[in-house]
Amino acid sequence: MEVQVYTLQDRLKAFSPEALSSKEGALATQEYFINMGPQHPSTHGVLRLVCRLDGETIKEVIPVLGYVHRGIEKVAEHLSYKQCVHLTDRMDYLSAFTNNWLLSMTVEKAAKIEVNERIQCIRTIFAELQRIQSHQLWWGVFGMDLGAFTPFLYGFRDREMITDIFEETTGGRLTMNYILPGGLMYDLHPGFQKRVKDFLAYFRPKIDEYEQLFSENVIVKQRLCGVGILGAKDAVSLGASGPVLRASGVSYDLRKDEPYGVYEKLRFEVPLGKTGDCWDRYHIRLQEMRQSMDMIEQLVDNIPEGKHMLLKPAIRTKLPEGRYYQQMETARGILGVMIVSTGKDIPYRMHFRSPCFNNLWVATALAPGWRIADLVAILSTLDVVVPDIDR
Amino acid sequence: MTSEELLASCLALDARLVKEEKANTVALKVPADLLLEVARKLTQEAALKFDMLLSHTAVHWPVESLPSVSPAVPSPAVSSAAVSQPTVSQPTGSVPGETLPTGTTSTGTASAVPAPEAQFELLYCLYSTSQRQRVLLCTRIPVANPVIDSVHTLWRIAEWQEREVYDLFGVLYRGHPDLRRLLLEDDWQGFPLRKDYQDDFMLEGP
Repeated sequence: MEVQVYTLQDRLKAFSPEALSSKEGALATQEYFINMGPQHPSTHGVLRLVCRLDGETIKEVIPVLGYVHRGIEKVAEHLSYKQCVHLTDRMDYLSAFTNNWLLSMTVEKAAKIEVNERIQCIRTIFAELQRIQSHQLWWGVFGMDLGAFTPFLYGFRDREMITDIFEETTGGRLTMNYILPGGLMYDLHPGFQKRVKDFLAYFRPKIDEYEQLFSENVIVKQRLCGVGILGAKDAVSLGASGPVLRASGVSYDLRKDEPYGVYEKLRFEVPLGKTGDCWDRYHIRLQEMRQSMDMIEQLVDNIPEGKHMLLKPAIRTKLPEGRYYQQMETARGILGVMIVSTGKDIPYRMHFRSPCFNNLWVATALAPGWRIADLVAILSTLDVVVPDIDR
Repeated sequence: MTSEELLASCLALDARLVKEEKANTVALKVPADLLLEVARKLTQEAALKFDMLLSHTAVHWPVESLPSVSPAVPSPAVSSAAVSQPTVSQPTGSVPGETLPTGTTSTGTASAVPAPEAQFELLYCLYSTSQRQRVLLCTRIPVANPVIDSVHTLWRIAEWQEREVYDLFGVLYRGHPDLRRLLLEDDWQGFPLRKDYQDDFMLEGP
């Protein structure tokens, strides 16, 4: 065979005591390796990073994946499109609405199903609420990763309000299964608009508090500023997307560039970073939360009337033969789906381009040269959700 | 740049490129031996600059799923010759049976239609941050010899995405620096996303 294939054991041979380089001298040193994970708290799930270290400095990082690989793409080949939607919640569970919406939108566009303004508007509001919710959780956990416990409590306290809003309308707090091809599972709860407005009024001052508590902190600044710098060209080549890409100064936001839903009618800005260090990746998410709140404010009083579901429940949608690629901006970056259909009511092949899978690859390029504590900061600002990596 | 202009400037890169009709974006059929060269031109051409590999995946097309296998192909002579080849030890009455090793060439016209074979379709979804355009590359390689050039020199993320495809389909990337399983364990037998994959734990479908 002309193509050489390897195993993890082959790679780890370079980590054996004989192979690791050592320096002679007054202070003799030797490289060593440690496993970070699979149960390390800052990997946010079950992700294993094998790190080769020289003292505290990282020489190399090898991610080992697959601890929560469920074969979603294989399972999807046996389910109807509507059933597949329920699988997508389980990938990036902090962007369940967006995942549902992406698959629904792909099916709708391929099968030429038009959905009304009300459905689009409600979908957009939920997607933006979820972006705030996801960033709140990230912010809390990020503080925890850096060793600050208070943000964790603050983030979860404020996230609870959004989770309650979701629960009231959809019945779910994490996996909602709310957006389906042809519409929405349920109509809005009567108290939805009031609760959303209450939340906005509550959270606007809170986000200033976030900045005071955490962003202005000297220790935080020293842990983040100038650490893990990702240049614009590298970010594009390494396949980064979402806040990670925009922190490097590349303006690529699907809500602006390939608008879906009702984003075309909304006024909002795409926050961009300058240097692409951990600080930019951190701060861009706080700005995004403010932008999302502005968007929701523009929409929440202007939800048009109409039906919330346009297809009969028993319909098994068939897609014409072809290849369908669609993408959407989740809280973490570009989620894409490639559906290959042979004209049946089940997909022949369904592949998800998940944002975390691609963003994690950035870590292997960023980490070498930094300290092991910086790896935690780098990994945390990439904001990976492991079930989305493994699928 | 409209999608027609984009398609025209992509097709101008090489005479052997064909438009892929059954796709919802601008899509090109690329012969497997051209892939690396076309991909390099797509990244370097000043008016294109496809600098981002959004997504890379594969699709397994077994023989029975290929359109050319349908009864429309009028080549019974080829298939019967191919089938009768293993039974050459039968009575030597027929003259073509004498030329033992090459049953297909004996009839002269038989080599016109090659027998269909199972294929992998490789899909590369590219994006240009300067032109704000997307393009899809579709390449087909035989399952029997699933080797294709790696594109990791053009997009660094390809190293990672190609490993996923190797893991789940068994596609071999020529020039890949670190081709090993990504999601499954190293001692896993077979490639699960192939349509003919079987293992002991699979359940009957409904």
